[in-house]
Amino acid sequence: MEDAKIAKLNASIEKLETDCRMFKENLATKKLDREDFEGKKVNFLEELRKINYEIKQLKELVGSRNQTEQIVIRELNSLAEQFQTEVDEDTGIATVFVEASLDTHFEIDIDCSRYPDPPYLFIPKIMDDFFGPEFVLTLKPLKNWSRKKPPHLVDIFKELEEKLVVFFQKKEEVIDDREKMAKRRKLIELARNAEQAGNTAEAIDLYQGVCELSKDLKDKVTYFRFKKRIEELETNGKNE
Amino acid sequence: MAKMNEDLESRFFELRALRNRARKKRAESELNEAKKLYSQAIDVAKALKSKEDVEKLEKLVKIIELDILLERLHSLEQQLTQMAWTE
Repeated sequence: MEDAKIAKLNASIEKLETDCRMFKENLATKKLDREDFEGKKVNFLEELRKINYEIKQLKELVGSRNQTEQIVIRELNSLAEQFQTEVDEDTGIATVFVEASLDTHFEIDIDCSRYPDPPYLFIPKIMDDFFGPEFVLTLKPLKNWSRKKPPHLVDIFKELEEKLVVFFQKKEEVIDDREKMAKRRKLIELARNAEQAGNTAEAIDLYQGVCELSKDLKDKVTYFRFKKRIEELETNGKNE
Repeated sequence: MAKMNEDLESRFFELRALRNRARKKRAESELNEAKKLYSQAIDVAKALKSKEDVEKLEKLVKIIELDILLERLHSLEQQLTQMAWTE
């Protein structure tokens, strides 16, 4: 039924598009007098507004939400009150920005479309490297998830943020391995040269080496700094 | 059995990833691309026999189709508004 209505609206717009094209041609070739032009333009705009109204009505009908979907939206909006969050109400998916330190933040997508089943968290690869793929499952609200009484989504992110903040505040001694540090300095220099020369793929490879060494040295600040750089280069590469 | 669970898990992951990519395309106003991705997600959901997912995704495709129609109308309205009579 809705499909038929959409098809009908599509046909109306196609007709309007054809008529408008003709109208434009007639105007250009002076086949219309002023009165004709004004009258037809008003009619077209009226027809257009009528279709616009019908589409919006149908959209409201199609987009109506059941009780579960309304709960998900409430949950996501309450998440947005405490974290910077981009909520997509139609899908039940949101992007949450979690601050781990002053200069490190993570963007985590949360998919609640199967609520009251536990939500799915898209953990960025960069986080996986340090915490492992099972990290999310150690978060209490997810570990003890109950379909009958699901915990609040905001509690997942509170715990996640807490763990990340602790991790980034912990002043771990960077391993004092002069040889590896010298090698890393060299790699950074080469990577920057490659970047300047426009050799993005080579720069990414070299930065990857910097990250590996930083991981060995337990230097998380440098690790995340260059992982971010790799991500930026990859994104720029895709957009070019 | 383990292999079957793995396959199922990977199909679910594919479904979630498609849905998430589609959502991002829609947010970037790339409606046709979003519709294509949601349609692919519907195929995966059908293969998983997840009626609920299929229904939700079909609903989204309809909303996007209506948004595409609204976009076309908007473009027509702009063209019409710019048209003026000249002697």
